[in-house]
Amino acid sequence: MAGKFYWQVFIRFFISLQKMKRFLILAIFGFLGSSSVLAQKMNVMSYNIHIGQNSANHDQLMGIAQYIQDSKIDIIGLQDLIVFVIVQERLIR
Amino acid sequence: MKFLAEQTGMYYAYARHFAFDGGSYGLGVLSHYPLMDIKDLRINLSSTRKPETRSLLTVDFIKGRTKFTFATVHMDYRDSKSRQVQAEEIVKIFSESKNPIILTGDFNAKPGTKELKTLEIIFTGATELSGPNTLQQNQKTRLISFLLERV
Repeated sequence: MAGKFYWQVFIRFFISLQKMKRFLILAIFGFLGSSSVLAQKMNVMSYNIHIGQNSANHDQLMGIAQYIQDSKIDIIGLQDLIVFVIVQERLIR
Repeated sequence: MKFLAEQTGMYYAYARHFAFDGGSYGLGVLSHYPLMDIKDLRINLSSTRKPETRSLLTVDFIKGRTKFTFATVHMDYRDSKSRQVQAEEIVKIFSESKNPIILTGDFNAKPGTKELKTLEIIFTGATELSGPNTLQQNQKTRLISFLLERV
């Protein structure tokens, strides 16, 4: 009778250990998941390109592109952009 | 925009503020991450006689297992009251977002101004992490471009 009781205690203890283990694993994964945002590192830039021209109204888009490339940034927000759509005309002979 | 994207080998997004001289004038984003959910959200410009809006360009991208929202804005250069309205609109737009947000832009406002303090209701200034971004104009250096983040 006493042996059966000890077995039951042992099994319950074992099950609760398993539960604890499962809980700990879930908690660790949960923590890792929630801290993934904080662990991220990004190079970010904001750049007002002033329509791609310098103060003398000279085009400097090539220089701006080079600067962005050299900066090794991941993502950049650009302001003062002017975009033109160039339509190629076909010559009809 | 396409030229810059091709030269840098990055993905791009563009949103126009208004039509200009046969083309358009606006905001852009260049990214090494593929861009999703590109949105041209509009904020009001109240310093002009006629009611106008300007773009608040937002894009989503995934880094690691996290979806981020990246935004860029060019706030009104004329009037601080107009900027204040814009700042309130930006806060309203992003206050319910579940993604971490990175807001970049030319805010046309100095640190400590009412409009920037409004943005700081939900954003944290990240400028000090990377060094101040400045605009040099007529020999004067003004701190008006910032990176703001909300995690």
